Amino acid sequence: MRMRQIAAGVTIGVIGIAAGLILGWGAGEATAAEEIRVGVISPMTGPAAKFGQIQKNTLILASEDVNNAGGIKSLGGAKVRLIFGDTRGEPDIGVTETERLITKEKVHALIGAFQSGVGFPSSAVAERHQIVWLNYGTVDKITQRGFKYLFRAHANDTIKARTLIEGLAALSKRGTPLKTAVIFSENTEWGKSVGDKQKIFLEGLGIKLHFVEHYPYAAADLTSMVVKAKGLKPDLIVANSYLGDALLITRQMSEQEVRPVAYAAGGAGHLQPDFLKGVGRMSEGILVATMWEAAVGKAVPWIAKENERHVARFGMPMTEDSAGYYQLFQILVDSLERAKTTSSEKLRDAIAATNISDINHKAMLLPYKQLKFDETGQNPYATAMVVQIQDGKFRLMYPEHVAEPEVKLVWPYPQSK
Amino acid sequence: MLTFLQATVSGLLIGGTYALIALGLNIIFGTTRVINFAQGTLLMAGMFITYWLWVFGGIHPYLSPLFSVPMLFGLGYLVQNSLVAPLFARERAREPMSVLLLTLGLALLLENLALLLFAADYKTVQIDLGMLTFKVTGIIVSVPRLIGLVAAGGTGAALYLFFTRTDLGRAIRATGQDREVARLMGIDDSRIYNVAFGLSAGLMGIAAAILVPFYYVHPAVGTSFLLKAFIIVVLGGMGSMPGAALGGLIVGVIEGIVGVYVQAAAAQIVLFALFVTILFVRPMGLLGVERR
Repeated sequence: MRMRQIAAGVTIGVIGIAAGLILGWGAGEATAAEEIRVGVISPMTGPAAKFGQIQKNTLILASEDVNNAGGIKSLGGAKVRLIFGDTRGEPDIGVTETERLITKEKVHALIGAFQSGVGFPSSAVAERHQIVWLNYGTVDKITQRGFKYLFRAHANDTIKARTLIEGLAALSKRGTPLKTAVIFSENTEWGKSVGDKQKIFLEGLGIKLHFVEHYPYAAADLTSMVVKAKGLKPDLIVANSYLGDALLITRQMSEQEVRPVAYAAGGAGHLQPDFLKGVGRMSEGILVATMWEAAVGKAVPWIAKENERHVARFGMPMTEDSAGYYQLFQILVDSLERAKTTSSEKLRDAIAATNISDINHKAMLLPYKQLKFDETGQNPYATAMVVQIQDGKFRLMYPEHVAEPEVKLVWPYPQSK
Repeated sequence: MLTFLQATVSGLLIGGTYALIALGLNIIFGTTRVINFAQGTLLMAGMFITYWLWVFGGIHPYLSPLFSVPMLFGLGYLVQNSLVAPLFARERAREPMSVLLLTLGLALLLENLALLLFAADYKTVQIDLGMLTFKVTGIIVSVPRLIGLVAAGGTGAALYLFFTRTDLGRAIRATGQDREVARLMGIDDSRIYNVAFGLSAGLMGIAAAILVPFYYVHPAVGTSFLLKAFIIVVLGGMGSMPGAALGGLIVGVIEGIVGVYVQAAAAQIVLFALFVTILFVRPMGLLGVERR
């Protein structure tokens, strides 16, 4: 990939880069003195660009709110400026962009990188420079490296996988039980991690797992994998995919008449509005693990309002990942107020001391019993949930205490066309 | 057995489309010795043209080549004429590094432009045909993919006739074989280069029409197909048209069978191993001719 960048510079790519800059930096509003520079590492171009662009939108909304309300008060009303670094979804570019934001843009803290495969090496750069890295990305081992400057407020893959599999087991009690399963998992860091965790929980429940396949991310064709699963007639198919792959798998399952009792997904692609548009009725009945869904606003009014503002401005609800970015941003704002300085070490200590249990705090967009960090930088109170796609909408199904009571479970997977 | 046959059939069906994209790469390489890294991006451009024709004009994807092929031909012709040719003229060597970099830059430019104009949405065309299938003795055949294979075959045959029976086609081949001699014979080689580039770009309009009914449209969609096309070109023979066709089908079938019996990722490994092996053992490819 580095070749490509050089090539662009050498040739007519100047214009191409200019286009990239407009995309990546549209939000940056420079104010001269007294500004807090927050680096945002996300895939703004490439196959996962859709995710990055929603994350950017949501953060623009959040940062404008902070600035319009007078900035960071304990820092004399300092305004927050977002500076975006585009990873293209590639680990090596993520690393260079992180380096650039730290050394050239002198950011005070970083939020990133959505894809764990990119965030894993990029966060190591931040750690080396002793700059705070607020991590979005669920791979467990990101917080298991003894880093001092890294924090994750949301669930890791173990929590997400356990919620999905236990949720499926609980829901299956209302219909045909699940005895056998296959897992399709993309082959970057996230797919490998979450697939292996799901495997552990499936086997723990005594469900026979035929295979876990780590297929190539953004593949041109996945028919062969679907055909292989078809031969085994599994009761449960779990797919952990970004968007393009999620579309291919769902369509090819329908084409090949693969009809499991339950079709479940680890999150990411299956939660995107474009996925619903792309597969239409085939999405009916798919169960997806997620860390956030607009329906949580039914219990917490301010979340519903915040999401409505997002819809009004950008024409779409917040997504799991953009909500996660929002949460991390609010934790940063809260910590800056307490730190009263942008000194990296003091800021780090303030984040580490975060302890929020007020459900109406803006950092509780992903609502937990409590928001604090253990010694690894992980929030041990983080939870996940299972939603089911019904009539093109996500309905909260599990855990039972958050489920929408009026919603009926679709079971088995109907594979409507 | 059914699984094996299903894997083979599915592989053949997608292989035709792979072959068509590789064919595009091969026409440019066979004529101008340039490896066109922008081939995948041209495919992407074709897919967007097809998509927007469907959204705004209600034009069925299969009719879109009527518009997209001339548009892409024009684009390719222009790129060769006003970007590649001046570089060629400046650098005496036949395979200048800068042209390769130029195509890379062009790929980036087009991809970023598409992102800017159309956003990173995953767009899909919803037509009933897109999900249509039929069964032959238990094997499921996807109708749009079958149409794709037939269309790719038809396009290949038409190109073959063009290259063997028409003056222009023969002139393109002659220029590819020896530019100097072709020029001595009175062939306007720079125009031939323009036509070859345009032709190759135009082909992407047909590949796009085949893909759009069952695939998604996204600014980065060309990348995964381009990688396959490279393998196919090396496998079948650089510059060889029947080689591209054969290579495309072989790659499709290997993907299908290895994907079913081992896994999709292993199919990639097998393909790249084949890529390296062919380069060592038979650098001219299966159907390629050794060049001086």
